[in-house]
Parts: sequence; C-alpha cells; structure tokens
Amino acid sequence: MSDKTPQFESEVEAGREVTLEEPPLYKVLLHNDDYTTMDFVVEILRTVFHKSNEEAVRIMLNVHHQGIGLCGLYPREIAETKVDLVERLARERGFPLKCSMERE
Amino acid sequence: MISKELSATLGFAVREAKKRRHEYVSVEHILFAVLYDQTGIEIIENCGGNVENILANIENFFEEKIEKIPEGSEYVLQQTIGFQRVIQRAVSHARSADKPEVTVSDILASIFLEKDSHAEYFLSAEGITRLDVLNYIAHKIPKTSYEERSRESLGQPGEEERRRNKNDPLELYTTDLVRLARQGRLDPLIGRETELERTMQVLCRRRKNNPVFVGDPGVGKTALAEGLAQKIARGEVPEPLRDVHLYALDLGGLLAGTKFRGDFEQRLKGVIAELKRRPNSILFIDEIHTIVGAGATSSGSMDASNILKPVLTSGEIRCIGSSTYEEYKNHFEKDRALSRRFEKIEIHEPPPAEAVQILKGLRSRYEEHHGIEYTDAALKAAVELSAKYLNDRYLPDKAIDVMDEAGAFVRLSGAVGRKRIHPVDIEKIVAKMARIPTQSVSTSDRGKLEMLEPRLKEVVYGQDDAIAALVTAIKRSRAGLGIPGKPIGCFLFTGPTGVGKTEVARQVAQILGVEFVRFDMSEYMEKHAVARLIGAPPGYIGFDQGGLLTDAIRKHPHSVLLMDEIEKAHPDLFNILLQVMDHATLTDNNGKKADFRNVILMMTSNAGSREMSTAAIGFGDGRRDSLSRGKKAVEQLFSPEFRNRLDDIIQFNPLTPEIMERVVDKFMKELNGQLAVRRVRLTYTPAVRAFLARKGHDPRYGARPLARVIQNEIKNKLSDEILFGRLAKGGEVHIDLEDEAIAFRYPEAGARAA
Repeated sequence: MSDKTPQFESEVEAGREVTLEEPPLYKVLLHNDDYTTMDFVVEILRTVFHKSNEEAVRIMLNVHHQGIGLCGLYPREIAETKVDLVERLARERGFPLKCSMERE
Repeated sequence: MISKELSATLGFAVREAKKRRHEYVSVEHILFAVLYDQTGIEIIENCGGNVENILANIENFFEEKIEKIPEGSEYVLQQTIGFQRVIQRAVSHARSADKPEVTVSDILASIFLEKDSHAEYFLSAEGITRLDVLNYIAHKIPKTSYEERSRESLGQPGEEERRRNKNDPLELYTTDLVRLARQGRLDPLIGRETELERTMQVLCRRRKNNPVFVGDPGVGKTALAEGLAQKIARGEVPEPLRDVHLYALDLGGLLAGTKFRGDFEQRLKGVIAELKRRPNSILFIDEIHTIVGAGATSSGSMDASNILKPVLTSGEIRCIGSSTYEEYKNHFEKDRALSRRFEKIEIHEPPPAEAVQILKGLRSRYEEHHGIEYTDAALKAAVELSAKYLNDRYLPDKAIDVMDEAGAFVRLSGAVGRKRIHPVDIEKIVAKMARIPTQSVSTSDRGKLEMLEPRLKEVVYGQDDAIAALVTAIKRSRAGLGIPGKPIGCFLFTGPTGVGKTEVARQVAQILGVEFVRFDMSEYMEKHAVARLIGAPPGYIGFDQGGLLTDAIRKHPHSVLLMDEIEKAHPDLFNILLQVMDHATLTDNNGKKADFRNVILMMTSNAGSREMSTAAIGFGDGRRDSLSRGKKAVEQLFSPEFRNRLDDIIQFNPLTPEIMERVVDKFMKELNGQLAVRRVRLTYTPAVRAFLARKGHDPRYGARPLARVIQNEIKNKLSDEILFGRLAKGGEVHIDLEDEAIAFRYPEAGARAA
C-alpha cells in the first residue's frame, strides 16, 4: 500500500446527513363536557369522521365514560381541518364541544 | 392575481381529488398537480429531484393515508386548512414582493413551509431544500452537478435519452471512446503497431487480461488507447475484439460531488456492475495509479483498487490502464497484489523519425484549426529542435506543442495571406519555449561549425595549435565519424595559468550556441563532495534532490561541460568521469540516467606548468625538454585509464610578448566598451601597447597580470576623472608614453580650457 495520504480525505463530509423522517400522523380527540348532547357527538362522528352508527356510539360512550375519545388518525392538515370543522359545527349549534389533535 | 397557469394547476389538483373521491383537497394534491406542470417539472429537475419518484410517493400516500368517500354517496369537496395556508402564503408573498401574479413557483416555495406535511417530506426525500428551489426561482441557478449540465449543453443525447440514462453509471462516469472514434473526434494514431498488437493480445487472454501502459508523460499512452478505439470503430481488430466498447473512466467525475463516506465506492461499484452486465466492454483508466489509495481514509484500508481487484483477476471485466514510470513505481507497483493483475506494456519515446511521421499524420487537424499549411521541413524542424532544446519533455508531445504554437503564432501575428509555416517559424517558437536567443536555435549548425575555428582564434590568441586540435575533434564528431555512444569530445587542456583555457571552453559554448556548464573542481576536493555531483546517498540530506552534474546535463544535454582545475578534484571524481567518457551516461542516486552523448567535456589543469616553467639545467633544447617534463607531470597526476579515454590532451602555450600586444588590444577594446557607457572614448599609441605588454607579461602567469597592470595604470586614474573630473560629462582621452610612464591627455577638455 502506498503511504501517501489520499488527497480528498478531509473533504468527505461525515455525518451531516439530514435526518429525514416521515411526518407523523395526528390523533383527533373529542373531549367530554356536560352540555354537549350525545346525539350531537354521534352526528359529528358520523358526518365529519365518516363512522358507522355503532362505531360512532362506541366512541361517544368512550368520551362520556373516560372523558376523551379517539376519532381517528390523520395527516396533520387533515386533522387540523377536521378539528376546525368540528368546533365550527358545535359553535353553530351552541355546544361547547372541545376537539383537539395530538401528535401520535 | 393568480396566474393562468397556476389556476389551471389548482384546478387540476381539485379535479384529481374529486376523481379519487378524496374528502379534502390538500397540499399533496397541489404538489401532485405541480408535478404535471411544465414549470414545476423544470424546477424540480433542476433542483436535482426525480419527478417520477415524487409522483409515485404521492400516489402511495393517497392510497394509504387518505380516506375515500365510498362511491355513490354525495359529498362536497373541501379544502384543508393547509391548502388554504399555502395559497394564502403565496398570495401574500407575491403582494409584498409587488408581483402582479402568483405563479406555480411561489406555490412550490410555499409548500416547503408547511410543517409536518407529506408534500414537504417527499421533496426533502429527493434532496431538494427550500433554498434550492428559491435559488432556482430567483436566479435560475440549477443544483445539478456541473458534469450533468455540461453533458446537456453538449447536446448529444436528447432530452428523452438523457432522462433514461441518468442512472446509468457508465453514461455518468465514463466516456465511450469507440463512440467518439465513430464521430471522428479522436486524433489518429500513427505507428505503435507492436504496442497495439501486444495490447490486443493481452486483452484476449482468459485471465488477467488487463494491459497497463507505462511510459514517460507525453509519449502517447492515452493516444494508444484512443488508437485502439479507432481500430475497433473501423473494425480492424481480430474477431474477439469486434464490437467492443472502450469506456474511459472519468475518475474526477466519480469523485466530484461525493458527500458521504461510501459515495465514491458506490459509484465505482455501479460502474463495475454495469460493465459486468455488458460483456463486450473494456474499461480504460488513465493515470491508473490514482486508484491506489483513492477513497481510503488511512493507508491499508479499503480503497478503489481493492474494489477493482476481484473483478480484474477473474477476467470478468477487462481494464486498460496508463501511468508514468515514476508513478507506476511509486504507487502502483507498491500495491503488488494490484500490479500483478496487470500486464505492463512499456511505451517508449518514439525516435525522431517516427515522431515526424506522427506529426505528418496530425498535420491536417492542425492545418484545419489554424487555417494554415505546414511544410514537411517545418515538421521535421519541430521534431529535431524540440528534441534538442526542450529537454524535460518527451516526443511526440513536445513536437506537437511546437507545431501547434507555431500555428497560433503565425495566425496571431496578423500576417495576412500567410499560408505556410516554415522552419524559421518553428525556430522562433522553440527559442521562445526554451527561453534561449533565437539565433542559437537553428536547424543547421554547419555554418556555426565552419566559423568555429576563425572565431575562436579571434578571441583567444597564441593557442592556434590547441584550437585547431579541438575544432578538428568537434568537426569529426559532427560529421558522424565520432564514436557513437560517447561524448562529442573529451579534452584535457593543460598549460600555465591565464593563457585562455577556460576562455576557449566558454567561447566554444557561445559560438556553438549551447549551454556552458562549469564546475570548479576546487570545490570538490574532499571525498564526500563527489556526492554533490551525482546526488547524496540514501539516508543523507539531499537524497531526493539529485546531483548537480546529472541534473545539469539532464536539463541541457547539449552543452559544453567544463571541469575547471581538474587536478584539484578528489581522485574519486576521476572514476566518475571515466564512465562519462566511456559510455556517455551517468546514473544518479535515484537511478535516473543523464545522457552525455551531446556533451563536449573539457577539463583544464595547471599540471605540469610549474615543471615547464623551471629553467632546464644543462644542455639540450630547453623548450622540448620542458614540454616532455610537463607531459610527465600530467602522466603522474592522471591515471593511465583516465588519460586513455581522453580524445586529446591539448597543450596551451605560455604567452609570448608578441601575443601579449594582441591581448592588450583585446583588453583595451573591452575597456572601451565599459567606457562607452560613460560616453568616454579612449585612444592609445603603439608605444603604450608595447609598454603594457611588456609590463604585463609573465610567462608563468599568462595574461592575468596584464589585467592587473591595466587596472593599476589606467583604470584607477580614469575612475577619478569619470566621477569628479574632466570626464564627468564624457569625452575623449588619449594616452601616450612619457618617460616610461603613462600620460593622459584630454583633447576636448584642453580645447575648452583654452
């Protein structure tokens, strides 16, 4: 082997690799309160989150018993849009329903 | 506000979302649509992104992550907040930048700011950053490597082909020499039949079918590979080499732009894999020593040559290398495992006759380029003169350079209507390149040889016999009657000091127009000083510097080499000179040979002069007796084998008073030359001449005392006058002899005083 040091050794950029991760999905959550009706929550779950009747009722009961219910996993902007939509619909009908999103 | 193009793009995004029955139209839909837009594609590609890749990713994303509204049910497509934000940002950006319209590029820039979005992720995954996009939008600075662009600008492969080839390592990092040959873009190869034949033989072996060309720089190693490509292109090769492709590896391209450890190796692997896939291909690596150690972080670790090794032995790919002797030895051969996989083919410098043929073969190319014609004589002169005067380089390269530059010179000189290049032009160019006076570069030195004797006699007096002997020997050698493989001449000049021995050597060099190399042997009196001439031994300081003598002769093979006062040198030095005189070569400590065949070796010695000057006691012819005594002294000092190799021992006579008078004239002429600068003219009477000759003459010391006399008697007096006195403004001075002393007269000053 030659004892000549390779000329470009120092020019190799080591470890500057950009950490590239797939963007996370977001959980959309409904929060319990004592004023929003169960019917409205079910309606929201069916229209906004496209749940079947049974599933909507199950999630609604989750919200009711545990204080919080998971409506689905979505890419960030879609989650955002849904949260916005839910809160708008609730306000229109005079319910204080709280909907939030959380990074998975 | 929104440009037509953009609204079409956005419309496309919405339609796409609807078609796929997506609930929302999102940022990804915009990106999807942008990738079908002409401007969008242009930006992404120029930022180094692959449009197809991104589209595939988005498609995947649509399938997996986006909810679909079942067929049949009615729904209203909605925009996501992200969608609105992207457009809003682009619009407000355009507004604040006072742009009349929002364009696709603004949208693209805006997408990058959408946090946690898949659209941004897909772009980043292609290595595109927001800055790249902005750079391209703002200044049209593409991110793609220089290489790819230059290929593009060559405009050979069409857009379609280029895209297809983008991932082909052979296309990226090699040049197909056979294709270039077909396009007629290579210069023809002339001669070198045996080397080509050998190359083809090696290539057709079953294993280790890898030739490596080794030769000095400029002898045509690369040209040989190109010549092979041309032969393949013309189909003038044996059956096994038909339809073979010769790929020249671009090691620089392989290395350029590698960012991370392993990039380089990956590319090389790619090239090798591709070559394996195409059985009819040969890899050509110019400067193959560069692959030794390439990519290695420390010596001993994996490098490019180690990647090549396995495939080379197995004969899976064939490889041609080229390297110079020096680098082959220092780098390539040290990696013995690598060098054993190659068959070394030595490429020697072509003899001048062949070089002329090569130049003739290339003539048409250069004539076409410069719009000029070269005469046959000019080409011959280019070879001969470059061989003689451009010593650190090799044929045919240096001759081609001379030819090329002569063409450029004539074209630039603005001589309208000049259509031919003659040897005279070549002489001028060579003189310029070698930085020597034009008149000393001449194709025919016959004239110079003819004038050698009379001109020597003009400057050195009283040594007619010595000069005649010297000139005869030089003429004999030039006439081709000398002994080949020996220096032109080896002479020992003996005689008293100050009679012109050194002067003769200097004048011969000047008249012949060759370099004058002088070594004063009083500096080489110790045993170890010899090392200075041929280089220090290994382990000593200066080992890598080479020797003074060998370097001087290698630099100027055509020269007069003077060893002044040789009798003072250490006897070891004589032994070195023995082989110079015998075989005209001297090898320095590095094994490099200096060629003394075109050297005139002269040595001067005062040996014997003391013996000759002592007066003989007793009877007999005093002069003859002293001559024989001088000879005896020389014999005592120099060993028989040394004297035996000399062409001639030339005896210089002591100066006689008559000759001294001529010497006075010579010195006075020199003095007048110095005075002319001060606008002073000096005249003198014959009486002065005789006086100076008499006073300055001493048979033992030659002409040197005369110089001292002139200095004491004339120069010292004049210097005061020139600085402060009557000659301060120049003028005339006449010297005469009065009462055995020199008298000065200043006619002009006197006239003015009167």
